[in-house]
Amino acid sequence: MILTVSNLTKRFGGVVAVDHLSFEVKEKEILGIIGPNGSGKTTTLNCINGVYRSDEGVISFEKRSLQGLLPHEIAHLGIGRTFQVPKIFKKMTVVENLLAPVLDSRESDAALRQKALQLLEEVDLALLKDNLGEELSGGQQKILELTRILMFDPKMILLDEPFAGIHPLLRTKFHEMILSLHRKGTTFILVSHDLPSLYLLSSRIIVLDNGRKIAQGSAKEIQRDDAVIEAYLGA
Amino acid sequence: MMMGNLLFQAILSGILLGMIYGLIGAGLNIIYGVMRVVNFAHGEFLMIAAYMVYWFSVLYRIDPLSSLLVIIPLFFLAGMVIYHLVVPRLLKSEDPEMASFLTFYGISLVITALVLIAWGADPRGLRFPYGTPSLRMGPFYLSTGRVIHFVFSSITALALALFLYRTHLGKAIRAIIQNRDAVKIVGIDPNKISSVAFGIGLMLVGMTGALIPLTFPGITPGMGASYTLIAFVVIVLGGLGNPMGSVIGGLIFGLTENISTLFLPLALSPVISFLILILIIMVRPQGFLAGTSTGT
Amino acid sequence: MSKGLANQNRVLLGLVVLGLLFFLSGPRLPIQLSFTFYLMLWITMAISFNIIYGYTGYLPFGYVAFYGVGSYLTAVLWSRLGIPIILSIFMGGGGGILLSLIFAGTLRLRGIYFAIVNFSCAMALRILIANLPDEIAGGSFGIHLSAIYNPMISYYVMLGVMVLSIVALWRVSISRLGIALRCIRDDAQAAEVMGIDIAKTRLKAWVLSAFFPSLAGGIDAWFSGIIDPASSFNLLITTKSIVYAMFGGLGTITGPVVGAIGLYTLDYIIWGRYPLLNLLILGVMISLLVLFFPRGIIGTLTRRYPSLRRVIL
Repeated sequence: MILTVSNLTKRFGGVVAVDHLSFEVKEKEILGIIGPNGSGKTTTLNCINGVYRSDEGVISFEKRSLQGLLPHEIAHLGIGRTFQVPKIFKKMTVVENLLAPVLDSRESDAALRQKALQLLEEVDLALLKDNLGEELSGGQQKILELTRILMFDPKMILLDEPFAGIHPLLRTKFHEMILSLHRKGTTFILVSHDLPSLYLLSSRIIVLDNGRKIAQGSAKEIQRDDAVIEAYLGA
Repeated sequence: MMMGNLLFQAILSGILLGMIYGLIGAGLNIIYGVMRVVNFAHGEFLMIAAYMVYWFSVLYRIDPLSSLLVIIPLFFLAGMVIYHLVVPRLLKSEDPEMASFLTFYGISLVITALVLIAWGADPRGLRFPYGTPSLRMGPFYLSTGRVIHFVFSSITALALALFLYRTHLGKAIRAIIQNRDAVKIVGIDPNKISSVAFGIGLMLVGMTGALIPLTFPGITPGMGASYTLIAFVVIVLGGLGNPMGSVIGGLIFGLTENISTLFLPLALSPVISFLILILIIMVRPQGFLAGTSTGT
Repeated sequence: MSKGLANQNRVLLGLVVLGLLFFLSGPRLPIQLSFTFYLMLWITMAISFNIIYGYTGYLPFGYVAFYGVGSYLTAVLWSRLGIPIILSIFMGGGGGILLSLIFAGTLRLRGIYFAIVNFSCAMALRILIANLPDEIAGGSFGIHLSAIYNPMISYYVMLGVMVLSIVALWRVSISRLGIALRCIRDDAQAAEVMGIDIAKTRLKAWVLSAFFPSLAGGIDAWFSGIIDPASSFNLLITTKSIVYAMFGGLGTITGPVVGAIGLYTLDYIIWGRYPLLNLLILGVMISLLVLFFPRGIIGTLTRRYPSLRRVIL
């Protein structure tokens, strides 16, 4: 197990966004998380990542507790994260965006730039290397966001709605990126409403509703689960 | 025995001044709570009111309390006008709080400069128009001016409380302070209310400024700064966004300031204000009283 | 490198050389030495103010405290302890760094609270210094340094410090610290999630921004020959730093230089004739800048002509 979440609880005032949630992520697997809006998917990712402080529960990564760690410390442990709306640096160039995660690295500037250019070549963004983040299209920004994470060779990547709002060709490209990284040994947690993509990529899926886990299993099992159907269609 | 008398005198002074400070803070608090605007020129508006009252007295022989009949509507309207001129623009900027901080700081400089140019730097004083300048209460002396100001401030504070808790408009203002976006759902237009709130905030500071010559003798173009500071300390003490809490904050601050003069040289007393401000912001920025029964 | 870029670089280099020649020949020019001296001082103040405000968005509203501490430490060390003036100035700079470290804890506050606390600290410091025993700090009358009055040498020391501050800002902006700062300014949460330690980065910028105004305060004490609490802790020093830096354009190197040159020259001309007008104009400028012109000259230029960004930094 690379990641263990036990009894995770997060409240906002009177609302319980995540309610004693427990699950595990196996090393090198792609775990899908689905659930209706407001079921706590993004909040869970935020808790793993350190963006939110959990109220109760323990999260451990590679047998080490993430309790109380700041987001940048968690990033240095090898956990990367993308957001529903890509959080790239708009006023900085594409290359500078890629350098951001590795500013603490001991490698030389030249070596880091070399690596950045290589990664950009692989995703066909090399020509835009000196353009500002805000000059890229939505789809390109999503690719940039993911490529940026690859600079620090992450062990696990949290993807939050990576397929939202991108057109089918790009989506396929994303699938390929994720699968290729997966083959090289990266673990993924994938949160998405795009069920076909999710079923295609995930080895295992857990379903959340109202902050609780209501089902888990393979894509086939989930599709037939009554509780899941009810959650999505409403009571 | 001497110490006891001095202490009691200090406490009395503290309460009298505290109520006045509280009202200054309440005005700033409403402005900040409703639209997250940091009115760094708050003290300068107080100063303008003081000068206006001075000129009313010198030119037309009108006393401060009567001047209020002009000052109250004038400052209320001015507040609404300033709101419409400045605030919508501020709310559009990347960091409205900092933008308002700097903008109103600029306005405070402009006001100070204009007054300096128009009327010079020499302190002006009002001849006390209401009979004997001091009252005697046993072994203690009370400045009549301060008592009048205190009574008036207390009445105003009461009126403010009734307004905020009993009237529809007042409740709407408190609602916006809690959550500006949520009130739109209930059909309240935050913009209209905000301009009224700004008007009320300025009106309160104008009222205090009008009577300030009764409490502190000299008025100068530079006096605004210390009142802005007091307003900040008071609202941080009483809780940001809690107007009535400012009254309590004012009393606490008034007492602290006056009692400390028994132990410290006078020149160092502003340091007390600064220290209180720094301490509370570092330890409990939402305000000393936030979360208690008088807080939100 | 494209032709356009090469040309622009040449123009910039030419301007820099011209500027250096101007300042180097200061005492020989038919201009008042104090004008050129203070021009360099204000460029230094605007540049270093930009390091903290332009790059982190944190407004040290008590910025004058660094200048004041620098000037007082220098004067006290020289006059009371007989330490040579240049060493005293340097130690004054160290004092500024120490002060910034002492108040480093305030950096975790939200922007507006930071501004208010910083301001309060500066004002409290001023009152405390004014009330120190006269033997130590001269009370409200201050300290005289007329014995070592030397406008020529102090002028050139200021020139050296100004050049140092510009070079420092330039080195920082192209360094990894500069990238980190710009990331945080762009999207703090994204920066965090990418592994950037926001607190440590801010701290580095904060300490760096404290060094130069402290040095400037010390050199000014030497140049003008006298200091006192009111002028060493004058709030207008903060105000002008803010206005000059904003007017030129925050977050750039040329911005504060341009802003300081333009506005200080204006200030000098007006102050000669209408002293009271200065306060009024400063106030109007701050409000208008914030409301209508927050990017300043350089910022607006680079918006209109994005290619300039490569050159102007």
